[in-house]
Amino acid sequence: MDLIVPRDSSPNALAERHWLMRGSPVIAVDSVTKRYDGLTVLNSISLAVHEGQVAVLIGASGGGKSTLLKCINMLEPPESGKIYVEGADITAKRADLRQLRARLGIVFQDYNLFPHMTVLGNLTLAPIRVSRLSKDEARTRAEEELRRVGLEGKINAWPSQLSGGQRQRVAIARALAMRPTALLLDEITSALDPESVADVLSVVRELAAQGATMLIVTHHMGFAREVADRVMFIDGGSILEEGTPTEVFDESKEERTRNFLRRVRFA
Amino acid sequence: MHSLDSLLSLWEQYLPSLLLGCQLTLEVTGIGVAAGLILGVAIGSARAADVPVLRSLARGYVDLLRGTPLLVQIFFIFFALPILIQVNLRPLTAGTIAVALNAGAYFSEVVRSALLTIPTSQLQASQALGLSRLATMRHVVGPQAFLVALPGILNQVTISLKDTSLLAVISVNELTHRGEVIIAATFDALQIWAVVAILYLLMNAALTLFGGHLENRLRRYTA
Repeated sequence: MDLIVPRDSSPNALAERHWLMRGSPVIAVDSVTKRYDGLTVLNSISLAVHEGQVAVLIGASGGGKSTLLKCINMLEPPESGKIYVEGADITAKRADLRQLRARLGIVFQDYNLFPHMTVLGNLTLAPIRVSRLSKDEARTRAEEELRRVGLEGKINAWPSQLSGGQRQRVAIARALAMRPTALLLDEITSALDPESVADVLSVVRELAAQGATMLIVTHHMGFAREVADRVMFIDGGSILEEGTPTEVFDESKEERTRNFLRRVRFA
Repeated sequence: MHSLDSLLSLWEQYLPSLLLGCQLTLEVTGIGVAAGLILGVAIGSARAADVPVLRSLARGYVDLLRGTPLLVQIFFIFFALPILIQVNLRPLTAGTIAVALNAGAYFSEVVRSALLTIPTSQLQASQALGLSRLATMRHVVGPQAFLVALPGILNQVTISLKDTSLLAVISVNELTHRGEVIIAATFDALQIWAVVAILYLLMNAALTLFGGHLENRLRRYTA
């Protein structure tokens, strides 16, 4: 399975995609609970992201959205519940964590580029060390992914020489260079100035248009409405309401969802 | 007071011997510091590790070596160890081991605090890409921690270089011991000790210069 699958929005294709959604999901979270010092951050949360789907998590700060993403690739192991990546249980004791993590690309709020490596070094480290590509293959791939995020000229730059928006696009390219089956985006525009936000979002928009499977945490409601196939509203550590963007944004059934949306609209 | 002539002849006569002393001082420092660094990285990593037993052992080592004088450590390894276990070490070997063990304790603290400055987010970014813990250490955390540790490492190298002068007490023929021997023959304490001091100063100045250069090179691009 590849991250980028051609997306066709004709009625026929949509029906087919609907059928696909009933198949096994790329990411499945089953009753996951996570606590920090007695505080329940995730409360038996369940969700699924299917191939080619863009799922957006919205909800108040501290609601557990970022924690959920970190649970999904076991950077924060959950207390209970199961998480499946392409059908394989990543929470199992004997799970091949390294291999499963490599299948999921994650992009963080603070980029987390490796400051002691050039852009090329950042993009080729895991493909060489984990996927065992040759240096030349890894370089070709790095060039390809940099072109995708519009930074082909920065291959030899150091992270410290880049703007925030450029760093975040490099971080996206770094995740893509592992050819993951799904991308997890954790508030990737929160640390950026408005101009850079537009650059980064347009990269994500492009990926969505190409059919990438993504689970996105964001505070940009307009963006969420635009790219999401499915919107999930997290409240109190579980999903209170989910549906299409129209269902959640315009026809929300829950009072708390409406309150949240009203607050962020006026923010 | 000396005339300029007698001063020059004194230098001419004894400088070669003192320079040989410098050579041995540098050798002991080099070997001691290299072994100490390996020890320091191992112990510092153990102290930052998640295994309680390892941590306590490493902690005990550091406390013991930092809490006792190097001079006592040298005496212990040279005079006491042969009684405890049947090994007779040459003075040079015993002294170099003492310098290495001692420097290792201090290096380990430098390494440990450097490791603590690397944010968890760097570890997470690396592991999220599928790198193992070892690969993360080697490619992501290690190189960044090294840059942080460098000034502390260089500091300890200059200290260890001076510490080798204590090896004079077990008759290792390094710079200080040679100075003593010359003074015993010439009674010229002022001249010889001044020259010895200047030679130490020059060796450390060269080290500091090299260290600063290395640091600037490595730091050129990283923020």
